[in-house]
Amino acid sequence: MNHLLIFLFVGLLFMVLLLLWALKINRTASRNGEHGDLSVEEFERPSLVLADRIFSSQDWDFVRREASYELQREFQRERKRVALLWLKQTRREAARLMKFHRRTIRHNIDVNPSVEIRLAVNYLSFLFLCSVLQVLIRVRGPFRTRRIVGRAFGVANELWSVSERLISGLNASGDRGAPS
Amino acid sequence: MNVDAAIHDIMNRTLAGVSDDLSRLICLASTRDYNTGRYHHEGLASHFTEEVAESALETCHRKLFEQLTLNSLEDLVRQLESYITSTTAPPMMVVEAWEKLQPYRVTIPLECDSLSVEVFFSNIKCALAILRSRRARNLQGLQSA
Repeated sequence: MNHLLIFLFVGLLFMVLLLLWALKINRTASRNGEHGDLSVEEFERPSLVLADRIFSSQDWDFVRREASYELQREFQRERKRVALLWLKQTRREAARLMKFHRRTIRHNIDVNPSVEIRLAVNYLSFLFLCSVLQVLIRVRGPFRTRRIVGRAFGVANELWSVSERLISGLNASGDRGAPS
Repeated sequence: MNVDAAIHDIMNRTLAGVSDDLSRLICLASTRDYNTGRYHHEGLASHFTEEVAESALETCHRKLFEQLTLNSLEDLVRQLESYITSTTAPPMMVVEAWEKLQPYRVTIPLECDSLSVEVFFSNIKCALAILRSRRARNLQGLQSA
């Protein structure tokens, strides 16, 4: 009789633990569902027109024509600060995008390894270009880095496009697989 | 649809007599309550509704700001000079007040990208410095003549 009670107690305890575990999984899944509502469009794509303005040599030419040496230096300092801010913001958005991407694909079996590798290589190239750009902006100023800004922007744009295509593809396959 | 009509009204009637984007920006920012950030324009509100007028003013303000952020520094200097002249106060006095009090900070819309704000503030600071040096040069030229 005593043995039966112990078995019943252990069984009951086991069922309660299972129930708690199931509830926890359910909560996590619904939290992930909230994140799943986000889309790539919500991550700000770097703005080329603003970058063009910041790194524009047209403004620098105007200041060189118009202002004293001290003012030119002041302008260089200001633009350098803004250029570094642009770089920081662009890098932060790309990191957010990659984090979101990782979270989205974590539980998905339809992942295409070759595209994922391409995306990873793209992100690493972007980070490398950002580091080079940071050094160049500090050393040479923002107006002589336009070519590398263009390249960094191109890689960032590619990163957004690939991630967009991947996630929309995954979402579509998830919708197809979902029970109706 | 009503908002579009109100935007058209703002651009073609309310701001028709205002010469450039910077003056238009200052004009639109002045229709906003500093404490609440809400826009109000008596004429527009009576012609449309309070909500439509507010939404149209907010949209115009944001668009003008975005446009102005992308303007060249040379153009901004020209617009700032034109605005300062239009105030009829002594130009150097206005430049000094703008440098010290930074009233341009209240001209930015509530919903805008933080980087655009930085670019705008930085450009205005540089434009003010250029205007100051221009005035000083002109004054020197006059004295030596």
